[in-house]
Amino acid sequence: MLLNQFLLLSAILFTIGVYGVIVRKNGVLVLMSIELVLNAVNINLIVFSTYWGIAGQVFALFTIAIAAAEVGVGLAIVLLIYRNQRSVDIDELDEMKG
Amino acid sequence: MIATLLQLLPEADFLSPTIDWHAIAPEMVILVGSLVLILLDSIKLDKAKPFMPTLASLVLLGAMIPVITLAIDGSTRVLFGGSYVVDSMSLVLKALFLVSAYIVVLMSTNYVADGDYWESEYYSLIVAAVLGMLVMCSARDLLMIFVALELLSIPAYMLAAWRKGDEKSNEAGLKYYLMGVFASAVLLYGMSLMYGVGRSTRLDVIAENLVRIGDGRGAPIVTLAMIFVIIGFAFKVSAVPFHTWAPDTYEGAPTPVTAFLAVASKTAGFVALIQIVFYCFAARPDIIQPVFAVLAILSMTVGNLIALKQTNVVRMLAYSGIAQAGFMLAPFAVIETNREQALSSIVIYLVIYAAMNLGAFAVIIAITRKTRSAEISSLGGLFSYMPGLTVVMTIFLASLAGIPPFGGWYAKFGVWQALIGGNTALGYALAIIMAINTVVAAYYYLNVAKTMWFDEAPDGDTAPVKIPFTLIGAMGITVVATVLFGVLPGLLTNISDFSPVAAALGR
Amino acid sequence: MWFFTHVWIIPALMALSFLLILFFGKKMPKKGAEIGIVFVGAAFVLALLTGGNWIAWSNDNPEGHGPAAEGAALANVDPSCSSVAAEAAAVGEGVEQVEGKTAASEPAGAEKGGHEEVATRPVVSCVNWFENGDQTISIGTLVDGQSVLLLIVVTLISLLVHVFSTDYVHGDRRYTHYFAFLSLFTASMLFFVLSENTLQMIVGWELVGVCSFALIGHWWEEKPNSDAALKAFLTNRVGDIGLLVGVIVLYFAAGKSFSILDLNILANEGGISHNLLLIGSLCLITAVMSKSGQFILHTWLPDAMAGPTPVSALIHAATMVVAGVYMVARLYPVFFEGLSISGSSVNALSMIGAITALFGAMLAFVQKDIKKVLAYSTVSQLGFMVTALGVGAWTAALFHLFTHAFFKACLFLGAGSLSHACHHSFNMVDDMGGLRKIMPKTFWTYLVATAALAGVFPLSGFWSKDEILAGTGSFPGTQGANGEYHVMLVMLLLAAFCTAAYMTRTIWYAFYGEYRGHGTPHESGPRITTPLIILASLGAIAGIVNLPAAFDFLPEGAQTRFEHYVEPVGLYFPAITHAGFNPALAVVSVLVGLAGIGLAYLYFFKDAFAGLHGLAERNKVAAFFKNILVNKYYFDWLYTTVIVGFVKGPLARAANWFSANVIDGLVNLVGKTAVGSGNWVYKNVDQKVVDGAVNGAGSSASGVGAMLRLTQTGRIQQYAALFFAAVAILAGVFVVVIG
Repeated sequence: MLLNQFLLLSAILFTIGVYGVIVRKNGVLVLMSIELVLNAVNINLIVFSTYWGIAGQVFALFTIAIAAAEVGVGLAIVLLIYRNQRSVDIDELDEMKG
Repeated sequence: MIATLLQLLPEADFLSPTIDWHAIAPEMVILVGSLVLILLDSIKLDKAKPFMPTLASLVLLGAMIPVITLAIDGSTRVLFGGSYVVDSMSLVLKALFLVSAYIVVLMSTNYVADGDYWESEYYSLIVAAVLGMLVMCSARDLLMIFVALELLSIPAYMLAAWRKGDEKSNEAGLKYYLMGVFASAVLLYGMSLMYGVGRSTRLDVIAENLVRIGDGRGAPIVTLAMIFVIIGFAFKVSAVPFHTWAPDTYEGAPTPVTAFLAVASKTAGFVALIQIVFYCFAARPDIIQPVFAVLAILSMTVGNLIALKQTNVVRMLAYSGIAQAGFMLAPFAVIETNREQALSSIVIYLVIYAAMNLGAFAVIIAITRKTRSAEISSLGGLFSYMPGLTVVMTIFLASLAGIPPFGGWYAKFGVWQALIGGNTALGYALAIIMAINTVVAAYYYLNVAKTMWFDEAPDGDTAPVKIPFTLIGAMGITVVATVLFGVLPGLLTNISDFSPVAAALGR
Repeated sequence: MWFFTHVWIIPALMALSFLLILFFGKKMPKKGAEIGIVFVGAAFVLALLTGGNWIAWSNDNPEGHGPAAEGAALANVDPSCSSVAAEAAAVGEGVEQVEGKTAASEPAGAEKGGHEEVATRPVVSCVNWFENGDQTISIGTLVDGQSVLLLIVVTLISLLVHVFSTDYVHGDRRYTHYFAFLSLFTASMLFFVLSENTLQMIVGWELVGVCSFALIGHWWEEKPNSDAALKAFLTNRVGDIGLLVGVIVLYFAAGKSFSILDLNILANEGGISHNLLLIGSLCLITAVMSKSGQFILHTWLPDAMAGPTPVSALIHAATMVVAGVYMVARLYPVFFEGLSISGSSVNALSMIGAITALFGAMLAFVQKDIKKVLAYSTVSQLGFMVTALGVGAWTAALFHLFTHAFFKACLFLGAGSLSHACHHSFNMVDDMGGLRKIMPKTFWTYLVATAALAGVFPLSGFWSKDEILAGTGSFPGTQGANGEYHVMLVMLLLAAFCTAAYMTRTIWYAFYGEYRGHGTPHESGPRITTPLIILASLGAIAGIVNLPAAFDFLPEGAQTRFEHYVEPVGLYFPAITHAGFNPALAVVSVLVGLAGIGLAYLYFFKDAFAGLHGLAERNKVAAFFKNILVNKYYFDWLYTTVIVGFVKGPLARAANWFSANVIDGLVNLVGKTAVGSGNWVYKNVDQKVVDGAVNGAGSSASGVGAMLRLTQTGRIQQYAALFFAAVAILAGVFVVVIG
């Protein structure tokens, strides 16, 4: 099995996702970057499940479902902000600090 | 057709699990309760509004009944092949969550009704989050812990942004949401690696495999996985340097939600850490002890130092909560030598922390009904027009500062005893740093007390304001608990007698 | 026995009084004061009865010597609160567990000082407070001579302060609140004094601190008062760390026991390693430094004078500040072994005490505020007690605590009486003077108390101070009681000298000269003067309870009564040696005191005659004119020297020369040096270095806080970057280091 290659792929996806979270200014794109990280996780889980049985695949299914719920809530909050501020640039949200 | 399908299934592969319904009765009550709340809201709409808080309280208190019967029964129940365990410690924690949520509902009743909020959904979300917390108390499986964590987090993201028209609340919600999702992504990545090296999602199986691997082949992945998982929960308990969301979210969110986040959500994070660390990662104390020592020292020191400079009382409590989390993280660092005492000291701290912090937030809600501001200076002269409230708040602040005879001192004392009883250099170092931090902390707590007692009321407005009876109830319960735990700590040590747990740990 | 097992009633009475005053005080005709007085009176009577019973209990002690008797002495200890006692009960006679201590361990040839070697029988009773794992923590009372002594002192002073206060704070806006807290304070102090275990001690210690916070800040509307209260509280918190660390270290050292008795017995028998005891005692010394106002944590004490004067008398003279001294005395074996007090010549405790004694006395010189003089004087006297404990003179320390409580309370209340007359000013330099004739009762009681403090024979202060000086084991004839502490003797003598001098100064400013304030002062009412008279009389005669053993011309049983009843003998107390009475030392100490009084008298009273105090030293012209004035324009000179001088001229000239050159010079030199060094220390060390260090620590902490605050930028993505950077660093470091 190409275990290492799969792990590497997931690590790269994870890194790209983290990069996106830290750098992209658009709220929706940040949400998409987080999806990338979650997909890296799913790859890991499914690869390992070929060794250790079905639990990994079940875990991956749960992750997908919960990610969907999370993104639903996230989009709702981004929409809320868009309504109030007419912008989804998350850099403009620094009213509270210190 | 269905019959043919059933015939296709090989018989041995499908085992219907025998479910101990008594053991999961609290969760079932909450589940049904939250469904009823949602349904009632969609069917009756506005007519149901006034009954929502009452109904939510009834659901929460109703779930206490099976918790109590289980506690009387006293036996440890293992479900779903070891991924779900109901023992005495989990019952203590479940009761803590239910009572905390009940107090939050009491605090919310008038706050939500007076403000411009969606009332019905508010309560169903709180009850749903409590379901996640109850599951967390018994979960002994990575998947179960993850599901519980998301179940309690997602409603909290929405609640933080609950004041829809208010930009601060929106900002609080988005910050909490983005950081939270990011943290759970990191956590999940850690869990996937842990599944890879541990060969299972069950904590006990993973622990065996961790012992087997030791520092042999695959050890770096073990380290990486452990740190990612711990950090995922360090976010939840707002440990430095993963605390950045906490002050902003606390300030922006509606105050009862802040109380819910600061107490229930943080406690849930600690419960998850307890499950994972004590039942699984304890196999590698060489990794987790230093990690937790670093987190604890950073949290208490940075939290206290920044708290010194705060002018907003809610932000001050946010940073103080970060510091308190540091105190609670410290016993994890002596897990190898003083496991049992570390566990009980954390649980006792959680209980006392819940009482005094919820109380402090209840008082702040009462005060802001008048002042409409959470600035510390706006509390000036409080004693002259609301002396009772001032005395109650002073008790909570003194307890948070750790002054006997209020509960806080015993919590700190327990952690101290655990740290020193561990008899390791790390334990002693942590104990000393903790002692210094306790002194620093006294300063900013007493500063608030001083403002309330000694300073003039800003703009001379000294008309007292009426406090709704639900809020008085919330303050009453918490103040009695805070004083009682301080004067008679025996109450706590009796209910949190973990000898069966300790026996299980000693395997 | 009934009194010993039910002694908890005394603090309980005061706690009840607190609740009653709080809830019903406002409705009572006297606004709650009568509740406080009745209860504290009852507590005092009970304390006296307990004291009487203790004397009877000690007197009919069954004869017996050696280890067996010492073990049997623990028969009255409830086995559930002391594992050693439980062991002793199990063994029967308790002989087995005393093997560590034999007669040989007592220094041979040491002077026994008429000490009958009969083991003290402490009475300990307790109930379970809570259980923590397998550890049961009890709460209870430990009755022996030491705690009974403090019971009497605390309740007596508290009673007198209550009476005094009814007049002094009459018409105050929080009159009821004030009396409620007086009761609570007394209750906490009694709770602390009766502590059976160290954990209980911590709770009592903290309660005392909280009450003092409330009482010092009683008039909180004025900012300095609330600041002072906060400062007192925070400084004490620093010491609390020491206490907490110390108690926990000792808890583990004593085999997981908080029991004071267990700890003392183990420490005494060598059951705990010397290093552990050393660490424990050093930690506890920090606590003593803060609570008992020892250098360098003394700064809160003078500031805390912002509270009402009766509170100062109660808290800062007689009760709260002696808590530190009491704690050392209670856990004495820990210090005795930990600091190797016996046979050495310097240790941390004695050093801190001696520095404090001298330092406090010098500072008292330059204060304008009469209460601050007394505050620094308290600091200095506490230094005496701590030194005494440090050099092994346990009895002398407790004896001084006892006598000091009376005369210092009298002085504080006297100062209160003065300010009551002078429109609530405490500035003796600017607002007082000439009150001797107007306030005779206050004057005479103040004078007696001053003389007692200065150590004038035969007032009480003389006896206790002399015992401490002898206890240093340095003066020829008293050598080597428990080691030879030469430095301490010298410093204490200097401090005693300063004490006498600065007290004379307060008398001069307050009672002599012209009245400098405004309005017409008047003598205070009977509710103020009666406590003064009682305290002054006690301050005068209290010395007789511990006359030296050397006075064998007295009837049997008249000497060393204090030592006999208060000092424990037996397993839980180290075998200390008592320095004998040395007439030469007594003469020296009295002379030092008199010299202080005399020089101050000459400096203030003599120069002031000219009304140009201090000017003459600075200005030659002024000196010339002053000389003319002093000599009444030389008419007297003309008459006496020129005319009568033909008869006794040479004699008069010689006397005049001597007076002008020798005495004046000496007075000026001593005065200037003392005032100068006092001023210098006050300005440079006390206000700059010590306060500066305390403030500096605070401001640097908040500076760091302000810097850390900048990391909280409010930008989500910077948070995320910080988050991930921390993840990467933690993971990187751990993967590399641990693998």
